[in-house]
Amino acid sequence: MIWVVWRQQRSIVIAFVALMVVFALWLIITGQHEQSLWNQFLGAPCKGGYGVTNGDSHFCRGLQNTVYASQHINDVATIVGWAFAPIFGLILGVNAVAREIEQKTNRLAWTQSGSRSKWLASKYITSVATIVVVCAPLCLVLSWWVRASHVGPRITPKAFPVAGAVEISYGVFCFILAVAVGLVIRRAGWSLAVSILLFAALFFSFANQVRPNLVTRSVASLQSSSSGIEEGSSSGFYVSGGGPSDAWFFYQGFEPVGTKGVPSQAVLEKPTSAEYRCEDKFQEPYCEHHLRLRLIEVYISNRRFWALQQGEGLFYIGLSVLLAGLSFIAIRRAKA
Amino acid sequence: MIDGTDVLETVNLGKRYRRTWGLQDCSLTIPKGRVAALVGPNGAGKSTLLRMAAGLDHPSVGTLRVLGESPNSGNGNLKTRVGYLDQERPIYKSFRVAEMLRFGENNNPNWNMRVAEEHLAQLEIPLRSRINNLSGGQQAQVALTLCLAKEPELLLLDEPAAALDPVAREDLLRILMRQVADCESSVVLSTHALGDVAAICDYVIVLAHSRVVLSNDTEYVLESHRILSAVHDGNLLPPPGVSIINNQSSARGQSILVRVELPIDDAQWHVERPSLEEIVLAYLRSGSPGARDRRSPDDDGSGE
Repeated sequence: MIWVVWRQQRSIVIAFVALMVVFALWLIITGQHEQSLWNQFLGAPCKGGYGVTNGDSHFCRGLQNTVYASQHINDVATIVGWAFAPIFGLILGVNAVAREIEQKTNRLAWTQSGSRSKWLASKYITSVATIVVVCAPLCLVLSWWVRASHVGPRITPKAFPVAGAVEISYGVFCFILAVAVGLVIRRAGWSLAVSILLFAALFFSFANQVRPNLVTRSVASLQSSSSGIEEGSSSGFYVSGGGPSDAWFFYQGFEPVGTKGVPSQAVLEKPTSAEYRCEDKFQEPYCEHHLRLRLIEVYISNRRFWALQQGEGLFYIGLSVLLAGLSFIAIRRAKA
Repeated sequence: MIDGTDVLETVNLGKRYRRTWGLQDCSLTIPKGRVAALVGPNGAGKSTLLRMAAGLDHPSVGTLRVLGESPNSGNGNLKTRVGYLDQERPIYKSFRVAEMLRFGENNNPNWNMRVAEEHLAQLEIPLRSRINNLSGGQQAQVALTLCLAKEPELLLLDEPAAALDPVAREDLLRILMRQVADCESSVVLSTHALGDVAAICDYVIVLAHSRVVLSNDTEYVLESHRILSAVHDGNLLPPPGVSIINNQSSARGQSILVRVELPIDDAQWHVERPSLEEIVLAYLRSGSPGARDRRSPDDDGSGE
């Protein structure tokens, strides 16, 4: 049966492998180019735009414009990279079951010597293996490209889905979701549409509501000083310290000195409003000292990246196992 | 009870689709070694019965035994003994013919590749051809070959000759008959072509309005039915010992198709042997709810 499944999905796999190769080559070429530009921009004499001498300002501004201009293309590439595995999984899943039911070829398969469960298992084994084999190289290239192109810290929501291996779990989940939906809806087009909606809803809900709470957040103090005026700060005071620059930041605010644990955003907003009760003579940063507040920011360190990847990957794999189990039960009673 | 010589047995079998019954109170027995025709109008329940027998659908009520086993028991062995050709003749359109044969070989322990290749060679269907590029008739032949090369004990064929041109239909029926002769398979086929029934079937089952109205050997059916006709002479009563299946009156006279148990010796009636087609049509007409009411209460249509 595995041969039959492979034969059925061969043209889809070839098309996606071709797309993957073209996309990966594009990522490698543009990634190397951008890495070179960023190295120039961050190195002497530009130093990332800080401390540029008059003689180099034209060159550095040009370099800065070039590296920032590519960010729009990088955004598109990030979306394509994120969507690749899920779309691949969805199309394989719809083709595996809904299309077979629609074209009634399941009647041919289900009247051969193998059981329906064996038929479904062969689809799972072949397609999951295909998704892993096709998406794993792309994940490696994407992970490198995110760093090379300075898309952003890999732990941030923008880069996270394409900066590790979690992409593979999206692909596997989407395949199994499309199979389950196909068993219920029995129409390829509708199954694809419903599966896309379900995955998108789950993905964004998870990314917004669950992922930020998968690991413990960290708190870092920020020091403010009025000397910021001299430093060129537009707000009139200068803030230093805080979490590492490659962390995933959530919010900043004032908390009473001595508070333990990680405060919620609502807790931090309360003393912020109290700050405005300061008398005029207490300007920043003296006001918070007067009110015994300290400025903090809440973040998740980049070191927790693989813990988040593992947590999210296991969530999607666990959900896939559950859906696959339900599909095995459903297929026994499914109408041909 | 099934006695080991029946390939298909149903007792009060029914299949309900939401609010309507696809098949109802279906009780029949098809003995081994027969070519049985399932005849009936569209929606009579022929495909429903065959799908349930092939294990593709579950009965809502009643009992179904195929080769002595329940087709929904999950017994893979039964599937190797039964060949099923669906009405839609589904085959993988993107495959080549040779790949379809490989599919059959991989999925059936009793697969006979020689039989498959010989059938296709006779029909001049190249193994390299893509299924998509074959005509409808050729696709049907490939689908039938997949069934035949399994060398099953029972072939369930849902309208195998539908939408075929006369030559393709002739080829299909010829191949079918050879299979029955070579492998001693039993066949249950549904059809609208009453000519095919008379030509190749030795058992007939008539379904009307989701119920069985006739089920017996064609020979017995032919012997046990007569057309009685008389020039119109008022309200002429039928002879005793007959069951009226269908009564057609006109201004010129009366013609009734009856099931007889004893020779008719009534000079008022002109007695003729009906063709199988006439008998089946009479049962189909009588299968309407109104017609059933006109039949004698003890007539279960089984003819037994």
